[in-house]
Amino acid sequence: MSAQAQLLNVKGTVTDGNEGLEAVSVSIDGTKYQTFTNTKGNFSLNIPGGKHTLNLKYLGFLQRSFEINVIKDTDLGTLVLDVDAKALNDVVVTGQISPQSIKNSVYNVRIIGQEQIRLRGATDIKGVLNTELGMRFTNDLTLGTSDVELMGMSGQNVKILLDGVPVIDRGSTRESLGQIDINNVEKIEIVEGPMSVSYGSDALAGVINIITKKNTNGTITLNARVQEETAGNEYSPFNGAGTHNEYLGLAWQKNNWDASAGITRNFFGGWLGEKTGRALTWMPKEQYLTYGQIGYRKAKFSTWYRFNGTDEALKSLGEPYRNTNTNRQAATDQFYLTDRWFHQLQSEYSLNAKNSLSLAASYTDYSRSTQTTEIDLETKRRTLSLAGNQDKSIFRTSFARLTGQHKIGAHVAIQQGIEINLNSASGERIAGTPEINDYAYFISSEFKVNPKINLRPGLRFIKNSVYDAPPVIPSINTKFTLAKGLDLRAAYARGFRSPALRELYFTFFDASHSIRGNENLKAETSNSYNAFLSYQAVDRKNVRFNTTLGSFYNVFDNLISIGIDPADASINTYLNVNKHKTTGGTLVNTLYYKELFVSLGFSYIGRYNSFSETDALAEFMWTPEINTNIRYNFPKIQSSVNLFIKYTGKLPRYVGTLVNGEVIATKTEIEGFTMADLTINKVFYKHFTLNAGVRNLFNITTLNNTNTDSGGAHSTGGSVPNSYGRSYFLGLSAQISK
Amino acid sequence: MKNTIKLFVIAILAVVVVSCKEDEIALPDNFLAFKTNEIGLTGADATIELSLTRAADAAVPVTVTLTPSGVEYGKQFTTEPAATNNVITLTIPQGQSSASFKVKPVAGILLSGTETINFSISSVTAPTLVGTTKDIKLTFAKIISQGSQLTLEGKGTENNYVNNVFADLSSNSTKLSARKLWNLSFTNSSSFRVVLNAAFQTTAAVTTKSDITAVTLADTSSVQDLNFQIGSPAALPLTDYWDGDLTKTVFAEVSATSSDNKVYLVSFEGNKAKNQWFKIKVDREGTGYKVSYALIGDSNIKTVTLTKDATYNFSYLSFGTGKVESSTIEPKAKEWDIEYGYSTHNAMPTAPSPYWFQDFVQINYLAGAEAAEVLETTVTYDNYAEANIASSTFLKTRDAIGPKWRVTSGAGVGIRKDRFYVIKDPEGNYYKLRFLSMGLASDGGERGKPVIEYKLVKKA
Repeated sequence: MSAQAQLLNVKGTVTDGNEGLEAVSVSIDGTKYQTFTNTKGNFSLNIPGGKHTLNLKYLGFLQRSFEINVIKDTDLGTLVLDVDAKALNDVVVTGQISPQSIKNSVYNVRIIGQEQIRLRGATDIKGVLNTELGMRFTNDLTLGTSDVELMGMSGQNVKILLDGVPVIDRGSTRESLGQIDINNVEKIEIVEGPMSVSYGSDALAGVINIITKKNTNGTITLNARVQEETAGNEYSPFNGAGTHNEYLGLAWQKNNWDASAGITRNFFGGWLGEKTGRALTWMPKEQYLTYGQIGYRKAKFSTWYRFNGTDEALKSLGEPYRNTNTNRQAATDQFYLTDRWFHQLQSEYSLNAKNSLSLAASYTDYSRSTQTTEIDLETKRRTLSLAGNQDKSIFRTSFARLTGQHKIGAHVAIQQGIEINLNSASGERIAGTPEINDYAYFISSEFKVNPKINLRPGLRFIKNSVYDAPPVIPSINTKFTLAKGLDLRAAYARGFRSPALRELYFTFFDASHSIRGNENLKAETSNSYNAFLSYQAVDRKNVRFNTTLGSFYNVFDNLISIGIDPADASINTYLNVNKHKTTGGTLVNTLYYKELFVSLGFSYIGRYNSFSETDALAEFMWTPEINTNIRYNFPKIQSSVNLFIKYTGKLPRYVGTLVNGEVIATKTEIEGFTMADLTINKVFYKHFTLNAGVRNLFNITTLNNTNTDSGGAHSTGGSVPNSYGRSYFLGLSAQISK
Repeated sequence: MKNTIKLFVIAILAVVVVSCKEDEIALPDNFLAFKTNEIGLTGADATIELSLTRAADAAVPVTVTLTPSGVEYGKQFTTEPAATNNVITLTIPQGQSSASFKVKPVAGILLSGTETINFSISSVTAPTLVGTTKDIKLTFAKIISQGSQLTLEGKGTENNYVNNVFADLSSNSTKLSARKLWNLSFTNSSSFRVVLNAAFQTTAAVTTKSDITAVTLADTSSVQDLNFQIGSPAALPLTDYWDGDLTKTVFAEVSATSSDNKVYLVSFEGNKAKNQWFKIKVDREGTGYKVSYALIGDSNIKTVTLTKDATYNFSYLSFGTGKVESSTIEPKAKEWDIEYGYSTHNAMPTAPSPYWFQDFVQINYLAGAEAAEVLETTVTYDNYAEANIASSTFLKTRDAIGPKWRVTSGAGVGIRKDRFYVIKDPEGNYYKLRFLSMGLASDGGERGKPVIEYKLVKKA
């Protein structure tokens, strides 16, 4: 008997958990025996009996090995491959039990990938997101901050995550989005609609999850970037007017260890605009952003620690005055100084093929100081202002989330976890040194009823040390495959936002302000319904065409807003009074054709008009948006041209104005505008990329607001600041690996 | 590999060090200066004050040199503390921000009024610096100032509007008056008018009764709530009109017939709950007043008589302490021109309604002061001269300047630098006046302590 005569048959089916994978390489270690799976994912291989290691390899999926002992013909059954989150751009992690291809996710997730970020040449995250559908940025020029609005809801209802871990903000404005280094961002995932079961408070309108770069190509990789940008037509090289961004990053990996560190200098010189003196329309911003990371990864266990540091100075410059003591020209400047240290530790441990544990823990030490100084403009001597505001607010957050993932058979996966969130704060405008502790348990499961129906119900139980938290938050997400390439995702979710520390403990009394926090606030809650129908019309090697039609309806209750304290009419406080609704639809189309990529999106978002109940007015006011991204690659010359355009229609609103002691609904309208960026990109000498472009092609600066009643110390009424006009940039980046 | 890790540790440390550097910023320079540049000696002595821009970090020794003209130290005048060789040595203790000395004419001497002494800060210990008003001239007579700079110190430790500040431009002097010292004032002129202390958020309403003992807590529900909602036009009858028209006060003119005088209910800051209100009845007594008052639920009625003294605009009553001497509240009627402080004004021009706020500048209209607002586009501050007086429109109302000189919200916050004021004082001198700083819009000033500058345009 020859050895060949003793070959035994081994067969099985390789799937991605959903359907069979074609052309997976199946091989036996140390032998020549090898085959590939067929269109259904099946393979069959004849090998000698005995102990072997069977390897499954498939591009974009994690390699898997099985120890087998073959003594007779064997059917290994279904073998599942997990997607490799690092390898594929269209793999999503936000809200998933384990990384999934976007196609299989029960959530409708938007990905802004590495390529789009790179080609955009942005120096901050806002610069990448400002042409996204349903996103709108508002700027407060008095405080130098920006806030994001997602699908008609302001930033306080949007959760910002860094690698899945919440990033804190001192108030309702999402300043943090401007304090994350774009140079180390791998991709950004956006999920619209409540994600409160997975992420807790604030995730009402949706989640923006910023994923940092994790892996490198070689043993040592050096990344560097220098970018210079004008602010409108104001510019001075490397410092002063314009934007100046320099980045240096180093990454190393060997065996199971990896480490990386980087630093970015991101300076914006402000923008003079219409002003003529020393004070600027847009205040200068000086940022140093750093990170450091060290990780250990093995098949069953991986862990990494990372810190992100932000050192930001916003400089509000005053107009000169004559100092009555020196008779010299002087000015009062106000600096807003932010220090943010964000530490996180993440670990994953696979007990076996079916059970795994994940830990995410973080500690944030955040402080923001207001520093008022007087500068003698002749001697340049700067001294503290005694009359001006000097304040330092400190916020500290400890966070831990421990989750367990359990696969029960091929069709059910359960995720459960506990989350602990400990917050403390102090500062001049915060009463006392409050602490808020939040504890939650959440459980969700994914049922694959059959290959075409996928259900994901979830619950979150919350206990908060201070406010009255909603005891349980439910959600259900579903995905139905109606036909090949045609998927329907429908979801109902309840969302909530805890009262912010500031809303509970704020205290601000001076001649023109009497505001006090309210410790009896309840959480804001929402009921949210959405549905997305996506159709992959064409999926061939050179042509791909996708279209997704979405709709949403959200009802928000107990929204917190400032009102008159019922106990003391002379004091303003935070109250759970408002109701809000948003509704709308989106249509997003993407086309890849050879070297051309085109996306075209429409959205029509309705915002609730709270006066509709008392006045005969429409319940919703609508704003249309259209965006497109056109990209063409020239592979031969390693170049690409990219055009990003977004038209945002006029934003109507009803505001209450006091006329003869009565509140009258007055319609105001912020005019529509088109934001467009054109960029070109060229790779040369293999390691270097030149990026150049024009931002804000239509030279948008401020938007007219037909409500001319401009009151209050902050930029609210009158014209709305949007940007500082048409700007030009030139950047050079390098990536050298060894 | 060890080296690589070292490299990383160093790189990370470098980053940490760069991020942690924090600039220590020095405290502001401390300037020593006289409060004004010229004063007159009209009483028994004159007090000359030197002040620092902030409290002294350590004791500050100061020397002031005297240059008398027409008088001699020891013969016609002395100082307290005493001068040696025409030099006075003073010390501002640590934590304090001012020092003063007195100039006393020797008793029984006759002076022509043209004699002067010039005082000059000759040295101050570093790091304290000498400010712009380094010299002050004392004249042994009443002066008519050519112009000066003055700081109106309304700010106190409690808040930015503790004091009302009376300023007399012609004598370069100010008088601070705590705003809560009194509740009601009574005209000393021929009229019998009662004025509420607007700086104490005072409101009042009339009852139908003229017997004060018959007024009880129950009567509070038959009048409008004195603790009104800011911005409500319905509250207009609860305060005196801010233009100072004495026919538009809450209280009707006090009648000679007691039965015609009604009992009024009065509320003020800190006493806004109904059981904290006061009931008041004012009658005439001879040429003066008899005031009966009590807390609304109190049967023990207090009575105070006030005699008119035309030297002052008003006689004063405090519910807490009774009669208050006019001299503790205000300067003599002819000795002040403007008063800076807390007051009522109009919340909404379209539908007049009372509103409390700081930074109100009233003129001494009862003693004959007038003020005109002049736009820089019409004539600049520097060019404004006697010839321009005729073409300026002078107002005789209390709020002729009022809140118009500054903006506190919306666009253009801060002093309105496009305008200045011309003030005719009760003696007929004309001064042009502008505001230099107030602590808004980064103007270098301090909220509650505006700095004014003025110049004599025409002598009476």
